[in-house]
Amino acid sequence: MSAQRPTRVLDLSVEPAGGYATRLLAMYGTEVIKVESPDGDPARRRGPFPKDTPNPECSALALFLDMNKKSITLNIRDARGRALLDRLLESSDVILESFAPSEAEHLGLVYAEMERRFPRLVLVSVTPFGKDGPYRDLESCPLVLEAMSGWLFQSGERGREPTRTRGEMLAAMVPGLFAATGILAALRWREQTGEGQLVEVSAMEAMLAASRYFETTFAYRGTVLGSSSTTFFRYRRTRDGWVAPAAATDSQRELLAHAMGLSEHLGDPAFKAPKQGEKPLTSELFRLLDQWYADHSKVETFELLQSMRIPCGYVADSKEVLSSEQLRKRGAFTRVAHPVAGAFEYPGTPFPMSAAAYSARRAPLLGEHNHEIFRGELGLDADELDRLHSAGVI
Amino acid sequence: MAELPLAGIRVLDLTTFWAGPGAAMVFADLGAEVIKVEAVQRLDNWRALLSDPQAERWWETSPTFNSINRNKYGITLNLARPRGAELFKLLVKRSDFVWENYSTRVMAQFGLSYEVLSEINPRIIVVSQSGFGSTGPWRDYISFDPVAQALAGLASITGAPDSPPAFAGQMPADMLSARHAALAGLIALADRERTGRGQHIDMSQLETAIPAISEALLDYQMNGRVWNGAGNRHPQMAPHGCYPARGNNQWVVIAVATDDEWRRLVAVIGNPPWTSDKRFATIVLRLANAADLDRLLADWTREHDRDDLFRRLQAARVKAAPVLNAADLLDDPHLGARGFFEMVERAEVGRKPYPSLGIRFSKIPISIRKPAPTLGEDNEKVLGGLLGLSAQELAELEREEIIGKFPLGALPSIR
Repeated sequence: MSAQRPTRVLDLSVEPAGGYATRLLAMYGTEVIKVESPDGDPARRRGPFPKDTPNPECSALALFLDMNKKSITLNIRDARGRALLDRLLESSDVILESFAPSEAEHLGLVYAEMERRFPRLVLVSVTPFGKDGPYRDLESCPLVLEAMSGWLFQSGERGREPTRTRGEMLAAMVPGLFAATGILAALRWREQTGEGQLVEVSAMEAMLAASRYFETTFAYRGTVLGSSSTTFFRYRRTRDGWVAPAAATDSQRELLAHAMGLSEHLGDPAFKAPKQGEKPLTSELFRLLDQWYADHSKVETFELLQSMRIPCGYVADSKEVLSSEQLRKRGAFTRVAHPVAGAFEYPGTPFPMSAAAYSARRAPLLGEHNHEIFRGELGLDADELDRLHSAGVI
Repeated sequence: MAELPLAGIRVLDLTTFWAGPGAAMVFADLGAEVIKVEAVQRLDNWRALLSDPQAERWWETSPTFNSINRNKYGITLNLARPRGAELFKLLVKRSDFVWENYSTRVMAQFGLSYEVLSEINPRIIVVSQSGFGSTGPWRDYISFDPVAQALAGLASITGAPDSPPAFAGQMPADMLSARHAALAGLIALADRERTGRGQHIDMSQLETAIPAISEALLDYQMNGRVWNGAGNRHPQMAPHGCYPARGNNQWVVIAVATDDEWRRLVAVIGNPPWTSDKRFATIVLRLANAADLDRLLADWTREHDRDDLFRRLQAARVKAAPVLNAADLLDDPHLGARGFFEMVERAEVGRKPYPSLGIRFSKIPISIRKPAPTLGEDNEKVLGGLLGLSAQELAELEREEIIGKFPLGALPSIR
């Protein structure tokens, strides 16, 4: 087996979706070079920060997303910066960008043009709505995408406004995963054909394609499913918090009745899966169930139901997640020290693999690898580097 | 034209419900030969979800099953019987992947643990998508999406601060498990090309959802702050919320980051006196007075049509969007222009729209090439063609109920 040069990805993305895509690849040996504007990736300006003090080297979001990556700074809007980017493209396999389509065109990040010079290059574009279609140029943010991908309509308590999940990561992970998948598929295609190509991910489409295909259900059944909270299950209040019993089948609901000493109610049709239009549970059963939960703690309920093979979780907050024995025993968190931000525990790999090499190295400082890349690799001398620096190109 | 990138890769797909089949679907869409393996005694329960109980072949009528299993082949094989497991092992010899999302003890009960499978075929890649992974105190516990949402901390940061935890209805834990698993499979395949060896990917649904709360995990470590649900409030944007529009259950979202955006929003509202209230003059003040701001803004949105608000606000370059439901999305002009839904004809249900992969390649020709398989549809092709079983042997297997085309047992009830 000959030693291969690792795949090189230039990551120009300025949204967490692109950052998540390259984070996963960088964990498993891809060389990811973040190409940041001289004032840094916008993620560096988003919190949270230690002691709530903004510092581009201490953003929780950037520290998490940029693990295992290198960072160089480059103003690609400047002709000299753009020329350096092109030189880097000669040694790169993939370039990922998340500029608005009109801006990408303005910057010359257009596949038809790049293909002529770099026929083996894979160009990945991650945008809210894609490179064509009537929504292409709409103003966007995670909340807008959650509304337009059908996520919000399903979420929250029935009878009040739909609510989202706090933070940036959930909505970003899905298009990020699609982009990473697209990169590996395109690289495989390149091995077979020798050709690069454009991989385009629209966040709206990725978020819709990853969810439960409610549109197909509508086409089959003519029904629009609303908030899932009452049709599928609801959180129950225990003595010290909330649990999520997910008894989805009749047999699981029977087990639940036994566990709670409510077996005499098994004949009650309300204990079976409610059919369309039926009341889910009688008020008497509701009362008995609520009473049972109120008499137990959340962890006790979780352990009891799980021991009877009934799916159940308890609502854990971030503190409880970090101290979960299950997660700690599995090595789900990795402690990583950073010279400016300090040492924290970060989520490790979401897919532990028995053989592939995995690493968790700290996020780079802004421009930390300028010297290595621009001098060591592109052969710029110290004077040139100084000139580019004072001109704001690097 | 070149073949699809995963042409020649064979996947034995034992997965059921959503998260496992969703992962194998990505492989099928990319051209792998994915063989879905069910048993007539043990159908994929997803065949029952939202199916038509009146239909003669109810098990072929689930929109969710038919969506997530397109581009796959389908066989039946009862792995609980020695002959079934033996045939499965012959298939493993000729395959690249075994994909499963049972709880952790099931594969061992079938005598099909990774150790056994890798001995049969050292190049085999086994993807296990269990609830909690094969190690740790919870290894035998079961997870559905709501369970993982709760334990991963997602529930604790979803919903309004003054209400119980709310359910994220798009089923994030299922989608994250599915999409991480597909990516892991591709990484393992590239790894195998370098090293020649297969491996076991021992996933936990819970762990695939943890990155979604990374900001909260770090804020707790950095500042001791424990996140709760913030409704739709945002730390740097106000207004930032979901507001009622005219009509029943119609909503519009609006998000304003800068003072310029605020002035553009105010112009669309028509500059009523409340918008020049000093309490809303800067972003800092709007964040501090977000509750009053939300109330006043909702009084305005309530009087207007959802799509009209969307059009007018976006025309003024304000971040705004309708909260779309399934019917809206099926009709959506943008998705329509981009050909997001593909029409596919299938036995028992006719021609219906299905979402495409959601990744667009300029050269790889991705499409829905075939509908989801009917139960046991490819028994002859796979067991006869690939393993060389004769028609007589197949008939024998059918008599012994090791294979078949009709479920034994009634429609399972699942909600």
